[in-house]
Amino acid sequence: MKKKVLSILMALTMAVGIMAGCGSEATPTTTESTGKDAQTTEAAGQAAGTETAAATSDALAGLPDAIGEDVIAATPEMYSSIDLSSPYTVQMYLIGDTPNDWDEVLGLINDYLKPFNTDINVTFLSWSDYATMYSLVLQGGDADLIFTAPWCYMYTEAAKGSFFTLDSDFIANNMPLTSKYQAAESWDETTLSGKTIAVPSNTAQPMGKIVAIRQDIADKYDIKELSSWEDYKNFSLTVAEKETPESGIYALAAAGDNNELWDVYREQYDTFLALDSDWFDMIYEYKEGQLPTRDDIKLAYEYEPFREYAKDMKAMADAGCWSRSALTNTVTDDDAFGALQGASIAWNASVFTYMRQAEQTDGVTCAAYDITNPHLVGCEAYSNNDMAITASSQKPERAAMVLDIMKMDTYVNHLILLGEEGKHYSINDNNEYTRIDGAVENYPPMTVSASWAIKNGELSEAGGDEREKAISDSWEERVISNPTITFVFDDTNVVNEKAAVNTVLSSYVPMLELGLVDDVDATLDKMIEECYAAGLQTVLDEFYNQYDAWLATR
Amino acid sequence: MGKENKKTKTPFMKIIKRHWLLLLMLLPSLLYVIIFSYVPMTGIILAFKRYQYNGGIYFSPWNGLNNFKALLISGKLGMVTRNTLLYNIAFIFFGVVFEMGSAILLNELFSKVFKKVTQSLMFLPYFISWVVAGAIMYNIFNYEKGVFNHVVTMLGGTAFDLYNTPVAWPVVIIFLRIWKQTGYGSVVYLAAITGLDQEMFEAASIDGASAWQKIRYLTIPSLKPTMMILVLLGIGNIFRGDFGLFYQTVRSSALLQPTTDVIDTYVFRLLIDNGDIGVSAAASLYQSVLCFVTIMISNALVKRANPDYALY
Amino acid sequence: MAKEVVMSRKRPMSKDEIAVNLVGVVLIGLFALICVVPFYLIIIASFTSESSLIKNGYPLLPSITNFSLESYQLSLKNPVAILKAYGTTIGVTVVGTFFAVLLATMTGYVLSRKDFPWRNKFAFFYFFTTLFSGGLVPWYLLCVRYLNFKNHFTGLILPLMFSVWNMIIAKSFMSGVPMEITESAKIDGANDLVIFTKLIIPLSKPLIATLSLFSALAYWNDWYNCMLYITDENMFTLQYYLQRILGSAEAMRIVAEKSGIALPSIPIESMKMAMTVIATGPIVLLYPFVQRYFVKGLTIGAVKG
Repeated sequence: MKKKVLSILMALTMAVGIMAGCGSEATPTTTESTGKDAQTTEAAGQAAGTETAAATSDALAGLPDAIGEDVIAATPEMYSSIDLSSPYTVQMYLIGDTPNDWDEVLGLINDYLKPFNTDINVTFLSWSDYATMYSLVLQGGDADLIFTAPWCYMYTEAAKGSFFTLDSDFIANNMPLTSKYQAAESWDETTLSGKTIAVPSNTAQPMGKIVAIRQDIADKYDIKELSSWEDYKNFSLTVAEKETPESGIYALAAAGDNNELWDVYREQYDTFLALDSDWFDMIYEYKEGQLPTRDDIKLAYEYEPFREYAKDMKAMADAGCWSRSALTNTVTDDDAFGALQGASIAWNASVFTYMRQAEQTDGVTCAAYDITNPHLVGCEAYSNNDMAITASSQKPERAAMVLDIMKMDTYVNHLILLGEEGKHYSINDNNEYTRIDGAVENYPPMTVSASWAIKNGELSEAGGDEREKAISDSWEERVISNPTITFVFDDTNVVNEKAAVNTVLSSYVPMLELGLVDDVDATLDKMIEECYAAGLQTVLDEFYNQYDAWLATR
Repeated sequence: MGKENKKTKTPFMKIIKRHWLLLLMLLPSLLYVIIFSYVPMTGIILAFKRYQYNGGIYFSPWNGLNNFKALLISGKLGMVTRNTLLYNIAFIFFGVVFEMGSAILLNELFSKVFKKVTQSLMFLPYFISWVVAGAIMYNIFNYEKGVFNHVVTMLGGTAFDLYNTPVAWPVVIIFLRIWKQTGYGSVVYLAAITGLDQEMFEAASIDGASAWQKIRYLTIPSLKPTMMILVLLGIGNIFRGDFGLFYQTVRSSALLQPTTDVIDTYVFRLLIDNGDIGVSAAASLYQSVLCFVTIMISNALVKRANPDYALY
Repeated sequence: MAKEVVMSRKRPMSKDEIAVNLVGVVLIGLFALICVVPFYLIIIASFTSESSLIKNGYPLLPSITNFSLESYQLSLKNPVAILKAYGTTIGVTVVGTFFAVLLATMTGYVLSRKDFPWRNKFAFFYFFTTLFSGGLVPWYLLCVRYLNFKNHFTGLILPLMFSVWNMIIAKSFMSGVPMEITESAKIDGANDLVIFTKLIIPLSKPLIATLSLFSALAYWNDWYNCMLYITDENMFTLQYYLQRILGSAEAMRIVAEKSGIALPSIPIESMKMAMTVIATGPIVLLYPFVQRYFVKGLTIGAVKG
């Protein structure tokens, strides 16, 4: 009722303002809204009798149209519907290690937030603990804001009701900047069963899967480049046959499982995942302009190409491309590659980090190949990294305000992502930043987990690796956003069966992906059989029903 | 007047009056146990509930026996229970043999220096976490590059693929457990041996008993109470697996599971996906009930044989 | 009057005693060797470069070419923090062990008194707590929401302060002390507390040594309670501090995979080794210190005298 009254008054005020002309004159025409302008706007709003509504809309009026065009600065007037009269400390929990200069950076943020009568206190859950502590912290009840992600228990905690539900009014009133700048399609990804439980990041960058190899080793055997899966297989078999006996370097120093290569392999078939949940993946082939029907979507392991992949993997394993004890190996293939023990790795652009590590040694050159070119490339989901307001928060509106500022206010956003300008980084007009040697160790860019959840995608690092640029440019041309990304499977009714199936999968799939089985067909069939015995059909039925329902709304 | 008082007092009050100081001495640990064990124990009801944040522990919606169904659905619960039980029986048995054995042998050693040094060395494995121990094991037994196979092939044998041979693992795991636990566990027996009556041994020597006979007929029987207590304590945990040992050394290989999977690792894998508090509580309750039944029976049997050896 | 039996031999060694000794030397020596070899490997590996570890596995002999202090440098990069962590851990261990031994022995004594009719009932009451547990969530809520353990030393000391296992061992040992002692002291007018402190404790030196060792080890190795309750860096215990530096290789890998971000890599393998060495160092010295109390005969004389 109150909201309805407000909106009517707001409309009236605007009408009065436009007709009277005083409101628009007071509105700043420059793109930076300063305190003075806000005050004038406020006076005008007061005169109109509804200080909140007019102030908010006027304060927003002068902002740039898109992020990256110009500086966006938040002002308390934008949050006029929140009572800022009493001070409040927002407790924020993030994952990862504390950068050395964090206290300094946080101090600057809190200074900036003084006009908002709010400050932030941050606790970092370290990598070694977060698996246990994440859920406990939410039960404990003192958190307001917390980082979350599909890989960070977002769905599990949402099912327990640990997150505050964001409805559209709440977002409009308490997160005006986000309402303006956040990609509209992103919200569906964090909406489960009709409830929006987290705020997604604001970027969906292309993320293709590529392989990186030791070019110096390839040159030894006259292999110039790789442009297809067969080329890669050939390279690996050659290394296994000729290089490994001599130097001990594996074609791929695999550890634990081989899902990276599977992601590369399936790009050949233009596949996307309708459900990406631990081992339980539902896969389909993309057809332009259409959404898949339930018949198009299959369990990844019942999908024929997986069988072919497993057979290729067995061929490679038998040839000695990796250790027979690879399942138990704890040293990651990336680290092994960087330590010159593996001749190839596969993943996304992160392979470049390890390539650079390997290239520190004289005589070593690496190369990355996009072997599935010209097939489609998918993009990172908006919801890959998110921030959520907790159900236990005493003042969710303040938490929302702080989150809004972190996401969209240029000063605060860059502080968290990059550190202090001039000390840790410098930036040019094209939104390209450069690290400042020495100081940057105390605040490496994009390492605080909040930065992944609040980034807007307008920043990029200057002078990147040319090779990397070439590949990501090529991705830009081939990128397709996963059409089913906004379908979120609610597994509440089939939790037990899904967990049981997952247990079966987690036991067999790594073995199959590493080709460490005697008979691929037999093992794969046995695994599928055990899945059905564990209740796979029940889960599939539930999945298809929900999918059909979602499809009907498109 | 005293007689009248005795008639009107109940036995309960009499005991309190007589032993009030003993009860007072119990008070600190009693309070401790009530606050830190019994109060949280009420959380067991989570095994029958579906945990929701706003309901908390006590007001979340009931879920009947569904959490237990989650454990049963894959049909593996029987196998992992069997594994847990068998391994623990082996651990208890070999624990007694090695811990008591090494305590006895240490006690018989002449050289003080040798004794102290070896005792400290035997203690070292206790400090090595299973994560590190698993990494070392991998280094030794890895098929292509491991030291073990290196030595074996040098001596002319064929390389042994431990990580793909399920039947070898019970031996390996029991060995690992003995390696890690013996130093620590032998301390209790050592302390018990130092408390033994020396005159008994002197008298036996005078009677012409050999060292072996003294060990067999004097030392070991005197250690029986200690052994019984440790065995009973072990039985109290007989359905709980040492997660670190079974997870860090084996990792997740379907091939090795039939011989190495225990309840704790099984539940861990089940919960990796959804971290369901109710299912976790149900698994814990399952283990607790089994341990409870076992120890009640065991303690009763021991008590009948000799009340001094029982736990309660 | 207490009679002290000296360790040195008063009679010549007989053949079978030599045989037993020999068997003991061989078996114990072999076992001790098996125990120390992995630790030796760990020390060597902690001084080896990460790339060499990945390439060649754990070396049997130290080599100059692969020598590297990087994992120690990383672990000890903040000496002030390490010293604080040592300080916290030592403080917690000393205080905690004192109270732990006190509680275990006092409770064990009461339950060992054969003239106390309720001892078995209480014993069951204590033992039952080792059988059933509500799990982590109720425990955490109790400690954090109601008992205020967060960033407080009580959170490090109290959870480990009373161990039923220790109490049962104490009870078992003290049961071996004959009732005559208690009875004669009571006739002399002493109350239970005095009997406990002045008579029973002095007779229980091996027991106290054992329990002190177990409690000290439990406190020293504990990182779990620190993880649950402590977020203030100045209060980290040693084990937890080292764990945090190491992070979790798997967790970081998952993150890197899912979010496409490559986090700075650290020499994980050699760091695990260095951490073990740093964390274990001082406590290994505790054991020989405690061994002094495992000397025969200290407890027997009192009964006969």
